[in-house]
Amino acid sequence: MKKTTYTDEELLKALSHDDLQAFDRLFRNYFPKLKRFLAGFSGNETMAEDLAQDVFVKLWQNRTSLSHIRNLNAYLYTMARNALYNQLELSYYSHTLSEEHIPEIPTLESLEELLFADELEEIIRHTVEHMPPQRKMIFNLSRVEGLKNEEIATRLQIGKRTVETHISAALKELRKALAIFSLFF
Amino acid sequence: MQPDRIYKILRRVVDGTLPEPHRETVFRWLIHRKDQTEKDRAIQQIWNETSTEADETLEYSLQTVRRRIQSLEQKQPAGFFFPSWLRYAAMILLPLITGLTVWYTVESKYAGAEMIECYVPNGQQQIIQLPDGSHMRVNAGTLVIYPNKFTGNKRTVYLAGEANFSVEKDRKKPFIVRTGGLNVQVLGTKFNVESYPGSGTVITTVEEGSVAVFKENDPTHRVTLQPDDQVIYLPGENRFITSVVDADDYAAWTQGELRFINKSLHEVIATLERRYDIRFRIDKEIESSDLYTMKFKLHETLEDALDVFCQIVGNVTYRKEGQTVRLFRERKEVTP
Repeated sequence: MKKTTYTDEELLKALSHDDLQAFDRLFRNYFPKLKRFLAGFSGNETMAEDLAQDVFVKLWQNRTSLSHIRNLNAYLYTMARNALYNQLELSYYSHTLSEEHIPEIPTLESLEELLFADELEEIIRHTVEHMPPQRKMIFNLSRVEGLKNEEIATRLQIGKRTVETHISAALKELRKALAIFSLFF
Repeated sequence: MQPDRIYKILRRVVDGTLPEPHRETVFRWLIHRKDQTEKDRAIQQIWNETSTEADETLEYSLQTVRRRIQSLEQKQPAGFFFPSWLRYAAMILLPLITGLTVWYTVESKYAGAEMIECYVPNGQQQIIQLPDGSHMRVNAGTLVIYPNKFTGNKRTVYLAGEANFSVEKDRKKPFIVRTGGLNVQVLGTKFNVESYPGSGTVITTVEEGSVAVFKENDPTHRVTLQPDDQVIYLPGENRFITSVVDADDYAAWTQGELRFINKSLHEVIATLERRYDIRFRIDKEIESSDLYTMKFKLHETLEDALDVFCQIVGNVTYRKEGQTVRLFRERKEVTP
């Protein structure tokens, strides 16, 4: 091969004639994306590597019937998606069948709530974590340990007004953080 | 817009910012029929945004896939190179082998020394001392040819098969292993060369010292290896592939152990044939493009090795009939 870059169509045509160099080029162009895509969903890099390899082995096995493909990217996407679904169905579908009680299929809304709650919790935690030390301590004594303001004042040997000011400021910080958050969610 | 909300959720899955119990919930939702068109659109968006950037494992992945393809095709690789006088000698030698270790001396023009040929048959291994104090452990099914004296300015040994070399240091006389059209050159070191004819590869692995590997007709283009480096040469494609390995895995056979690292079904079987001096007959249904990594314990018996092997390949069983082992698909018994 003399050129430095080839179109997918040229490579597929060469591949259909058993051209291994063409195979190598296609591999180098598309394997990283395929593997990364599968790894992102499966969270398991070894499995993603194996599945991505399987796709290319199949590609080679079917090489004589590939020259008609106009959009290799779309074709590989379909193969990747199928590999992904096969794997997911293996993991998550068979469990449901063997149980007596089939768990409810979550809805989009319930999922969002779940994720929203998670993120909310994270925002709160993050905001509290970054409060000035005394405010943080007072807030935790109030909300986490459930102490009344007077009890906090006694415990920390400070005035009750001070406690109230800090709690007020803490809540203001949280409301601000949550307002910013709700702009993006 | 539905797909956008779906996309947001999938984005979090793919970015890894979703804790485990939630991932399972998302996946159970994802594979369900409902809204499959919108789900597909969101997944496709993720695909389009996935980077095509390669990392350093790409070449190794390619090599692995190539080997899987090769084992599917069972192609006979391009011819194994023997220098012509060696080929002539081999033609005389091989028909006379009776299953015993056979020693021959062959007269040659090789600078006053006599060449010694040694064939280690299947089922055996052998340690051979070389005239300079170096030694080599030779694996089953291997032919080595070397002079009874290292005259001249090089120490040359010919190899068709597998040997593990422990070479005495001698700065003035580089030690060279010639095999498969390749030269493996060292000054003093410990390394393994696997180069069985018909395998389509020459695999050099270094344990100690440093080794240079280059083609017979192109000495300037060389690959230099340090301990735990490995280079695989594919004569059919004229290509070197280097990687880092645990060199002990490739010298383990000298201690009586059996180890396979990413070997195809046929490679495993070829090694077992040589090691145990048996023949395999494989039913066609067993063919597979998978690669296997297995380590067996010291002096594993054939039966134990086969039990483990069949377990790993899955749905395969064997029957030993004299010197032949038959591998066939296991039919599960159905109890009414």
